[in-house]
Amino acid sequence: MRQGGAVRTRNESAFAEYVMARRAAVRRTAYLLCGDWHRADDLTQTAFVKLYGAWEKIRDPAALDAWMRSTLVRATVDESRRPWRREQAVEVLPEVPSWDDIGDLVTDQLLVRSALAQVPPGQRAVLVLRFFEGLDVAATAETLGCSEGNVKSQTARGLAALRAALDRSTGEEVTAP
Amino acid sequence: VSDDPTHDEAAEPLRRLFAAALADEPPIRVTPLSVQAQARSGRRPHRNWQRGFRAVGAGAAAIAVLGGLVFVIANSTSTESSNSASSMASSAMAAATTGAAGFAAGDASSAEASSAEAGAAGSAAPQNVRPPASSPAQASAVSSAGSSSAAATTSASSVSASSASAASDAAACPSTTPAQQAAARAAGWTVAPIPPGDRASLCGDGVTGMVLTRAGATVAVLVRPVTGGHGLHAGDRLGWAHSATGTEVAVVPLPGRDPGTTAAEANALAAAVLAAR
Repeated sequence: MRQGGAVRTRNESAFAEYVMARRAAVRRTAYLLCGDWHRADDLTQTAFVKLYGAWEKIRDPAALDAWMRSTLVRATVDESRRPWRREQAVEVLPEVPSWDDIGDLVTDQLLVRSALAQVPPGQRAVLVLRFFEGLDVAATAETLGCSEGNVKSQTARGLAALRAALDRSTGEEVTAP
Repeated sequence: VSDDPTHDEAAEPLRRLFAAALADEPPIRVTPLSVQAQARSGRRPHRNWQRGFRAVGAGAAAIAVLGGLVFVIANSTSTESSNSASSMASSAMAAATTGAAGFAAGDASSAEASSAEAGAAGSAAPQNVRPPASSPAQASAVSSAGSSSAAATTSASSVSASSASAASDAAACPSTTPAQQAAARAAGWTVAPIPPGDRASLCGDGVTGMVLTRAGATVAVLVRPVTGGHGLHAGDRLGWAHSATGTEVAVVPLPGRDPGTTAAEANALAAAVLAAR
């Protein structure tokens, strides 16, 4: 009994260490997936709660990150499919920056956020995993549970959608009075 | 797009883009304690409402199907029962109206045929067919029943009951003693046994009886030991006599037939039968 308690305590402390070490990175990924910091907090919490339940079943510590990524993406995509979470593409962006001097596009957070929001969740997940998490096609496919060909096609479509969104935002902004 | 994002031409711009999007990162609220507390409380991080709705919907659909099934079965049962009752009444009416003339004329076969025709129209009609061995008195009962639907229904039920029990009570109503029959004959009556069709309504435990007829009159005389209670046919008897030794005699009318006798005559008859014991 005491031995079981010691194991539990050791597991608890290891879990706490892992949460402290990875929570910021997980939340950033969650934010890029969903585009909202509050939802990112919720999704991060959800993913860690699920990890807590599976903590003792995951034997390989190296697999923890992959497990977390997979859980996080699944939770994000699942939630984005709910009717009250469904994003709506609009002709006019709700938050248009008023700036006279357009410098580097990537410095404008609102513009980037709006452009990301216009990319469908599945394609956005592929872009985040490949270009933010730095996963290759195979790892991305494994994380998403789809084929590599699907990852490639989703990447191409996601990039096209992001470019189109950025071009649209930039064009509107340039022509705005 | 190559397999290696570090060499992808889109990789660097996208990293800058993502970094820009993450520039205003607020303080994080997720802590090990909050995760462990939620995990231990057993709350599901995200309730799957769709699954719940699906389960509730399936349950409601099952209940609705069961309720509909019960309703349909109950409805069909009650409809069948009411149809049966109405067909009994209508067939009894038809039997009474079309067969009354035959019974009144003593032509039982024609009456039976017409009753059978009526029975063909209703499911329960064969039960209401009057047995061909019915007496003329019973035929008059059917004839009177034909005058109204209510009377027809009553007559049909009594006929049905009497015909159904005729076989069972054939030995349940023995005849009176020869001395009692002799006393009745001495009073001017013709003696006959109680017909099987009337035994169910007249006879009971320990009762002996006979049917007496004379010009224009038909009565039944019933004899039994006094066992307490309200007496033998206390409600509808024409005359009555009882002895101190515990025997009583009642003179009662036969259903549907004119007794044709007064209370005094009936009492005298009862007394004579009692004395002849």
